[in-house]
Amino acid sequence: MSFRESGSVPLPSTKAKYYSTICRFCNVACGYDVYVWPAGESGKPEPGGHGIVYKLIDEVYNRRLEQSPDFTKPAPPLSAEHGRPWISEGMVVKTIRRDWRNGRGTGEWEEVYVALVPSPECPINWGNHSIRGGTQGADRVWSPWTTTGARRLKYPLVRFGGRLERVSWDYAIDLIARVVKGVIDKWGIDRGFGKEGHDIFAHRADHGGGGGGGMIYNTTHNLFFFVGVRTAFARIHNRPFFGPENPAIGDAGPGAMNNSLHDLRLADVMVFWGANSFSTATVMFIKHAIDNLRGATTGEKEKWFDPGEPFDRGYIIVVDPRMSETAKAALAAGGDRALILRPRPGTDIVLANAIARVVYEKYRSVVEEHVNAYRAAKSRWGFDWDEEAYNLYLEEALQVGRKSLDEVLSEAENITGVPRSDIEKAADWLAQPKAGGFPKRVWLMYEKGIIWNQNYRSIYALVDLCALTGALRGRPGNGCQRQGGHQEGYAGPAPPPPPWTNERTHISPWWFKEKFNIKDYKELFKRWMDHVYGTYNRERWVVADSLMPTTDFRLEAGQGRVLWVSDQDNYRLGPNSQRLKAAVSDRAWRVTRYVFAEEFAKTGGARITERYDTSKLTVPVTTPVSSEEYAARVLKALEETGGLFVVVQDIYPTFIVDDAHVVLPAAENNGETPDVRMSVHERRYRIADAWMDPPGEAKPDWWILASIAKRIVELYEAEGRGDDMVAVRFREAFKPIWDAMNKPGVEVENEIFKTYIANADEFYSKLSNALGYEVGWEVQFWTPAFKKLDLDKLRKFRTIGVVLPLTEFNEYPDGTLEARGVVNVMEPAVNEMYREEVIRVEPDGTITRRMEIVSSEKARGIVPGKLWLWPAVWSDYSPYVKDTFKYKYWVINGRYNEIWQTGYHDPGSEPIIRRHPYNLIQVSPEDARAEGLDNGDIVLVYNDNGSIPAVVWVTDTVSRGTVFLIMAHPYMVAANAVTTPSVEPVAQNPDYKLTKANLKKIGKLTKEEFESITFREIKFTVKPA
Amino acid sequence: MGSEGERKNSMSRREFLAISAAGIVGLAVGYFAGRATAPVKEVVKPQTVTQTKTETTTATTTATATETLERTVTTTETETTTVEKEVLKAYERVKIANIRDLSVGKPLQISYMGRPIVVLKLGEPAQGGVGPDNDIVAFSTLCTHMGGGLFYDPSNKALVCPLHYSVFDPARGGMVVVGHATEYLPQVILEYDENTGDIYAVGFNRLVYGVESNL
Repeated sequence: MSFRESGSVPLPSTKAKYYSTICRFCNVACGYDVYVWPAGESGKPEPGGHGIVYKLIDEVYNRRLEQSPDFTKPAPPLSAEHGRPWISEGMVVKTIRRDWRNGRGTGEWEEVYVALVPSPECPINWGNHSIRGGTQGADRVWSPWTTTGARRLKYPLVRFGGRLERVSWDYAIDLIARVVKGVIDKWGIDRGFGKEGHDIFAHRADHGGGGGGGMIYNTTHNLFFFVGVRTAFARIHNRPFFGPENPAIGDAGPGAMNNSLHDLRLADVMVFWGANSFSTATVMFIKHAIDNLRGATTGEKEKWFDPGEPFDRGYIIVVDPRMSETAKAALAAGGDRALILRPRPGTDIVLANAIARVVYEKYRSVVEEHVNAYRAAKSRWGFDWDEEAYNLYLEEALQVGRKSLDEVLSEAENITGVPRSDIEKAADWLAQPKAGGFPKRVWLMYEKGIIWNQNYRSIYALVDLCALTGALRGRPGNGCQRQGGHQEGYAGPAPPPPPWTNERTHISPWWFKEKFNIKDYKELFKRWMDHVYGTYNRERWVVADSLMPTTDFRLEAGQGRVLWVSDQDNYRLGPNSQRLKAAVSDRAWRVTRYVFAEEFAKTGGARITERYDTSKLTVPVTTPVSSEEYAARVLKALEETGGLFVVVQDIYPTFIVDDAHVVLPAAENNGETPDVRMSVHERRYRIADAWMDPPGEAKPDWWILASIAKRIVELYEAEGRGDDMVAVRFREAFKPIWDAMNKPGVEVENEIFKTYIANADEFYSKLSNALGYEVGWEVQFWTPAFKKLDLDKLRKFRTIGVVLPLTEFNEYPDGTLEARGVVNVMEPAVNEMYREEVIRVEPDGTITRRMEIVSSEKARGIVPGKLWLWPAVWSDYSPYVKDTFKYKYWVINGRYNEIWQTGYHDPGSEPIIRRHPYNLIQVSPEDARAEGLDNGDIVLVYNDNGSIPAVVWVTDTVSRGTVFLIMAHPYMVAANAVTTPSVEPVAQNPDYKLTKANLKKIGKLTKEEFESITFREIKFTVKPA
Repeated sequence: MGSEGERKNSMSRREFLAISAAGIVGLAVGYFAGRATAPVKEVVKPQTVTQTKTETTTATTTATATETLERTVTTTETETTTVEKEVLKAYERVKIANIRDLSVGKPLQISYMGRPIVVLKLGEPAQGGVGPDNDIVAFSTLCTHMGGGLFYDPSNKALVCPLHYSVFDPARGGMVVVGHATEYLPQVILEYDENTGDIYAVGFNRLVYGVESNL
């Protein structure tokens, strides 16, 4: 039960139990304080009369919250920032939880209130929140009395005779274990590690946020699929293969997460490129970027800038084909300090290179100052600055010595559609020195407008621009990184290479250089470009697929025998998803028909006659069957039909459940099982604790995987094959988890954390010895200081957490804990001193946060050691994208602020699903006039790849010739109905942003439907009437 | 939710009252949604919430209640002078404007029950709209994100928060057009007197920013 429209909410009582968590949705990772208390109770409004208390001394932002809030008086605006939150009706729910007095989830169910309150203590959000995070209490926590609770998967389901029916966990586990084992035994490939199950395709999330867990989730999935099954065929999150999303910025050196919100607040110039952060990184933007733009951070600038250096409110440049919410907010808050560049879709590389060329020509001394800093770091402590690559960049990308500045600019204006004067203005803002000759402190952020738009080259073009403008120098106010979609928390053993090779990599120029032993950079550039892009343009074949294989396109082409989908819904989120659904669905139902009613599959096409064939009514349907019989028939079906056995592991019935054979109900990875992950913008690492029990018989993902692994080993042992390498792999990978599960009173997640994450170095060394081969592993930003962490210690850091990479973790005799981490990883890389964030937790719970200036010697071993520029050049779109050019409109896709990572939960959020019951398409006023369209009209958006109906929203957010579709709607596929199979051939990330389609009016909303939603313009600039 | 019998046993009086209040407001909202385009004849009755208070002194209890709505039900003399009082809390029925005060594009900023509100004549039928054109609405002007004071933008017929740019549609019950508020903007429930043109405020349909209870 929610408290919506009741006109009051209960305050946490003094009996409330406290837990800390991170918003389950986006990259920003706002901290949330969670209170659970007996239903029916309400705290008193006086300080101390309720269960809320803050104990924070934040010296960095000069914030002291050392009080129990006073709720006796109405909260003034922004009071949450000062430790007096306003608890809205969207933040509280009545639900049930087990009595935890004797341990989590052990007692009887009791009625409780749960409140998720944006944490005023958290240095990320200061009590601020988005509409998504702010509705977590009422709408995302399951309750027996809400739609959210009703929608959850609660029991294992297995398909019988066409229907999904409830079974026991034993049945589901045994069935899957037998099929997995059978597929490995029958089709496994042995090349010295025991049989490898490459016919098992794993589609899985990788991320925190979006309900997707973090390091514990990732570790257990990797153990299962990459050590136990040993399949090379996995898909991660939003891309049709298992590999990095930002390889270019990794290859360049800095990595995709290198600075901090502190740096954002200090920047002179902020650039948001292909990042609609207002909607998709809301609190980072509306709090920190807007604070900077409005001048709220000038005091911080005065403190951190060099003596005599001018400080003022910031400038902002937004690059986006749309006049996005971010662009409009930038103009509203920044006025003439905001510049909006709107390139044609796909031309960002040309724009970035043109801006860089102006910077290089007009502000050569500034560029030299920045580049000299990288050179000095090279000569003084061996920082790997590649001068030759820099020169290649100047020549190939900036056309220095080949084309005049004038030629470059007019060409760029033609290709991008951005006026030449704006290109020059952007360059001036980025590089014109401040009074006194001080260079600007530049900070840049990019996201899907770049990542899903010719990924590798687009990102490299921005990294190069960052290097030239000093954004990668690591000084206070510098930064150059992705915005992020979800939070990050990757950990676990590495995926194996595909069966035909011993390498697993993307084809970076640097790998290519080593592989083919090419010394000359010009030759390297030419040959690499031809190998990767030339091949793609000629053959439409992604060369990198042979080293880091795709799953989606292989499934469509008939490969794979088991598809295991964990925490994702490819029918909506896969590229060109109609084709994927058609293939997977057909192949899955071949198995179903074979198992239950093979004969029915052959029936059909009979002529209409006086009598029907009664013999068809006696076709036997195989049910009920034991899990052993079921598995045996599945294995035969896989052999004879080209079918696919589909397992889905999730918290809600996703679209792909329609075709699944087994559905496993998972605990949500936020609030129902603890996990650890970090914010993307400053690597703030925290626990997302458990405060609820999962509904019904739902189980944590680690439990599901460990249980199936155990059954697989038992099956081998029962056959007397307990020493088969497959059994050995599963046993060695999972034994520490099984042992922990057998110890009463032990928190298994903490044991997983300590064994596989904090002490990953020891575990994987032991595992390698036991298996007789080297098992690669990764724990993001792992340093030796990790070894002192455990979940109970992280709990004490509440929503403040620790910053990675950790340089030290200290425990003092009185119980005080102290964590130290690097603020901006490029700072120790290229400077003598760096900022270290120091967080101390006193025994009474008081947390102090401050920054110390420390010698860079201390951190050099754990931060990037190189900066390698590389030319990104662009001349044309990929062949798949060009196929769509016979259609009229660029289909830009992205997210609405209200639905972002939340789609799976949104049908349970009444205010959100009422706002977005339909798939909207934004159409410009000019195009609407030309097409005869108006608000509320229904159009079919179509091209050769598919079609989707959408409701027209006429808005100046899109310009003429472009329309905007949501990437995924809670009820339908949306943009992926019309995306193409195009991927960037180096990074293999899809070009989701590049497709064209036509519109055809097919109807309009009824008056009642029309009046139930809003079509107001997105307009922020308003003066008081 | 359990049966009525369980409810009485397991819930405190206070919570039971909160549920009652939710039920009443829910009805009012349903009524509004159905009325968007219908002729306005009916009048919404003020919602009332009854709350039992146990206080150790009579003085403090009296101080918290509105004089006209207060009624003492029982007074028990004990050694500790504990006094049980039943206090009636209710939204007030207040005349906030006359139709002659309003014109399209000219918002009227006033307060209702001590909270800032805006009265708007939208020039188009609105959810919960009163008056001859069903287009007069009133809303809290405190943003339900972090309490920013909202502006009315006549060119877009929307309310905009200058702090973080949440935008609300007053013709759609305060629906969030875009932004961060977890709740639609609290709408002031209005009554319209056809004879005099007077407009009365009789309550809010949602929790107003800044408080834990509207009453």
